[in-house]
Amino acid sequence: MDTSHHLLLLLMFLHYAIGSNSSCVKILPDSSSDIVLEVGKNFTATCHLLEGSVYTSDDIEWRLENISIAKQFYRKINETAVSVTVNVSSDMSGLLRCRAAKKSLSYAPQCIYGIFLRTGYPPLKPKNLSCLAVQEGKDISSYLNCSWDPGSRSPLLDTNYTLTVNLLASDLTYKAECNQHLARYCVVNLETFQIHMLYRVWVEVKNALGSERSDELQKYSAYFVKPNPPLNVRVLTEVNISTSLMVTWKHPVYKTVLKLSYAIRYRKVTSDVWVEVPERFTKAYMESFRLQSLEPYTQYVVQMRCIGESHSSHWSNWSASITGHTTEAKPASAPDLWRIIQPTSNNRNVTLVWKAPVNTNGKILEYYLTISQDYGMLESHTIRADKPRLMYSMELPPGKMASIELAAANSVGVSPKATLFIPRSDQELPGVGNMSWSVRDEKPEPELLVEWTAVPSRPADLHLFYYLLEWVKIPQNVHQTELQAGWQRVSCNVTNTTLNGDLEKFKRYNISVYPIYKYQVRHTLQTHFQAGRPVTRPAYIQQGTPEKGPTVTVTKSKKNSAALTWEEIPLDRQQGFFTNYTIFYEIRNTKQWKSVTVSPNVHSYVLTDLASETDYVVNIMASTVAGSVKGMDCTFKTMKYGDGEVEVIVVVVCLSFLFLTVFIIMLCLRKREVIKKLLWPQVPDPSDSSIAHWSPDFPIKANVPKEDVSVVEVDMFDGKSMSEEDKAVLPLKKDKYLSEEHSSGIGGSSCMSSPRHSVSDIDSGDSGQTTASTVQYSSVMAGAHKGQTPSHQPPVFARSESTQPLLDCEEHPDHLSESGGQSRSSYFRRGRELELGVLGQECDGASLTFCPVQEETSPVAEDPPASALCYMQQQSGYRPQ
Amino acid sequence: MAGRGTNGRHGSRGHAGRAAALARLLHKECSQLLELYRNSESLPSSPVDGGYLVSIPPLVPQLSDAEKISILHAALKECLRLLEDVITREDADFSDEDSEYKRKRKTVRDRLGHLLASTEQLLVDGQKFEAKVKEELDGQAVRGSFGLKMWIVRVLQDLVHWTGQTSDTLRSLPAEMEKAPKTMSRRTRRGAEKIRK
Repeated sequence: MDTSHHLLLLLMFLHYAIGSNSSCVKILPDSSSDIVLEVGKNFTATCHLLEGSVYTSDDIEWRLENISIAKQFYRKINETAVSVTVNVSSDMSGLLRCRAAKKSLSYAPQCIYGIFLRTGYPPLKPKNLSCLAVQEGKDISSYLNCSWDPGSRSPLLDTNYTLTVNLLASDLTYKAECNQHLARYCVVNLETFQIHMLYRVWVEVKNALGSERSDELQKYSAYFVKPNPPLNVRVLTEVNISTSLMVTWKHPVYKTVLKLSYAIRYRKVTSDVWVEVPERFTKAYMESFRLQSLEPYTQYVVQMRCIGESHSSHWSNWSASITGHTTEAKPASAPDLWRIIQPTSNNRNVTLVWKAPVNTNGKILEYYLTISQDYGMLESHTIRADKPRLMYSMELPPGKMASIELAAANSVGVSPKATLFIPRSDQELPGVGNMSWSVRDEKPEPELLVEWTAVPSRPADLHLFYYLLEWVKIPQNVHQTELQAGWQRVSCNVTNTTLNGDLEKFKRYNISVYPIYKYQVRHTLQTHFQAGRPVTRPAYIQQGTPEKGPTVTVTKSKKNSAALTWEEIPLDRQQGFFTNYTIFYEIRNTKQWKSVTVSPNVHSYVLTDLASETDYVVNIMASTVAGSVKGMDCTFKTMKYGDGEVEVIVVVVCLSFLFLTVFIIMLCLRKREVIKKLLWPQVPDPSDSSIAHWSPDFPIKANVPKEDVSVVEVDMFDGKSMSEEDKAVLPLKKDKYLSEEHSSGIGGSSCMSSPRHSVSDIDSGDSGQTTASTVQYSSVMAGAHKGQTPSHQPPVFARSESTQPLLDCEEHPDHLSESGGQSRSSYFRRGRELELGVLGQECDGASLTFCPVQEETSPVAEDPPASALCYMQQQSGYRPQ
Repeated sequence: MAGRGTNGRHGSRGHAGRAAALARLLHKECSQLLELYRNSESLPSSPVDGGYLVSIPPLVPQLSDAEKISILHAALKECLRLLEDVITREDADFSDEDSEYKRKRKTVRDRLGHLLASTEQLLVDGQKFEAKVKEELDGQAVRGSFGLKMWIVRVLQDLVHWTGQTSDTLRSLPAEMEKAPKTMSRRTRRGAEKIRK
């Protein structure tokens, strides 16, 4: 690109040279290559018109990259020379031209000449030169890597860095060149890295505007060496010394090449803080070191590095981490013992809980627990440490005290004892004044800050030893293996602290503050640690939206109100303190919700101002500070009537009915005669009928007109109820009976053995009066009836109705055999005398139709078959007539 | 990170101490070189009889330390010459392939040159001793391949011996022998000066 650009300019130049007079003008200074200018300095160029030129200095114009330079920068030297002075800037690289031309029209060829400018900075002096030769195998690499600070200013020009290493004794010189504008490092090959030799190292930087040389670094060769870390670093456990570890290693390089001293650092595996062994202990040329004053039964990480003796070289890198652990020692501190007391109706459930000693110095294998109640016999328990819960439960009557001791044991020995004293229930010591908590939103997890006031007053001999903060998750999950409780002790001088327990979010805890007193019992000289009365508050480390909403039930629905109840959500699902309950209700499918807010301790409510006989939907929303959750919808319907309305209606209806009944009864009483006539038409007494006085010997025609004869006809049939067969037979019978009637007359049936005879006649004349259930009584009207004038007509049968079912026997002979005779006899009891009187004279036993009437006096009458037989005989008895 | 005292004295012995350390290092490397050569040529590890090629006046106790150093310096110089003959001959006769032996050989040659430069600074001006070489490369005994190899072994044995002697002598120098490094003589400088890029 650059070459083509120059070629183009050369062609232009040639064009001007050929097309114009190339010798008419020249610029000083001139150069066959670029003229390099330093940025910020002034540069002056002079344009000379050569001898014989037709132009004068007034015709000269300066241009830089086709931009004309302002006349103010020109200086006319004489009639043939004009100089221009410019302040060099970094963007002034390019072609500077001088042109001589007439301003008016002229045939004279113009004169042009140019020089190429290039701008930049002189190099800065390299600073902070340092060199490094790393270890390769057992030798030192022959490549020396040197770096320096070239400064921040770019020279803008091609710059050459030359790194020179001179071996002072032999005057051998090694060089390396790096050609970048801002080279920061360079590597020189020394062929063989000379040990114990004095080297001189420097770097020289050079460009078109100048050169600089760094300060010389004159050092013995070891100075440049960076050895490898110590080899084969091992950490060995000291069997009998629990506070010591042995560290061993191998030299990474021969002593003849570089004599090393070492540095060791270590830390606990659980810590990030390194502890470095003082160098005075490790500066010797050695291959082992014993770390001391360590903690027993602790894992340590060890690293090493090395450096030439007397810090004659670079430090090596740290070695890889090696882990080792110290052996066990007996526990150095007592276990952390605490108790949780849950009073019951007549006892106290005491749960002893504890944590392993802070300085276990080994693996705790078991705990030795000793309990003494009322200074009585000691009760000892050995509890294995691998149990899922470090706890022991016991019952302690309220009237007893207990003294508890606990010690932890590992494979080496037993820890100091932890002691705890539980007094009688009525001997509790005073608690703190007040307690409150708050949540601090610390990153990454919120913290629970507990504050309390000091114990208001306590006996003078009580020494407040420290405060104990206890937190117990409620409700306790019985399925969890670990006790969901914790405690921490704080100094008696503070009245606030942050709980260090890992409290779960959205779970309720009871936070309690206990003052712990220390005192000495006079008669036993024992030191007691006894907790005062706790002050407890429920708390959440973080509240959340309740897991579920309350389930509402409608316990009572009335015309304009409904009683709602809902159960409290279980504590472990509340996820926060409820701020309120909000009851939402609407008329079903109207989406016009109304709401009522009630306090969180309310679990029932009566909705009022409801519409009657309307479907409502109700649900309840439980709210915490973090959010709200609605419960399930519940649907109910209000009643149509309010309280007492139904009772009023019932009473009114009953009273109305009562009045109506009384009215009807009164009416009936007043109109009883009419009703009686309607319901029970007066039936003539057969005994008073004229036929009772009728004699067979008496000619019919002569007697009939004079005497009324009443004939009782019992017929269970009428035209409607008769069967078809009967209907078919009936005309025949009618004819027959009629003929018989006419032939024999009613008198021929004085015992009324054939009622059909009379019925046939009446039916033909007044069939509408017959009913299936009525007993028809017929009156044979021999003479005038009810004022009618008797005639000589055949006797007419008047008909009466009765509700008494009679004469079943004719149509149902089988029934007759069972009851008909008896019924019949009872129905005709009124006419018994007549029958007996009349018929007794005329029936000779076999022919009497109403023989059953005599059932009370005749053995025959009492025998139903005999009645049937009797009836049959009666029928046959008509035949001859 | 360089430590402190890098321009200070080497241990408690200064320049002589450094020369002694260098001689000791060179002695070790010469031993390694001899071992490498024997292994590469499948030669027995037993020393070759015939005494040392380079001979010097006996280092009797009556000689001063400076005289001893001058004598040893002369012996080492002859050793360097013999080693360069070996290198020239081996490079002419055998392939140029790189090997640990060749690398070590070059290291020893360079290191020996530096040891000579270091010990020269300890020399007292005017004192000069000469060392003799019993058998040169073109001698009667160095005929045939086996003879050449045996001669090379003897050269390397001499290197081990005389570097060891130098190391021991330098280490036994009293403190007053120490002096600051002096500028190399024009002759030495002219011979050693090379500019390598």
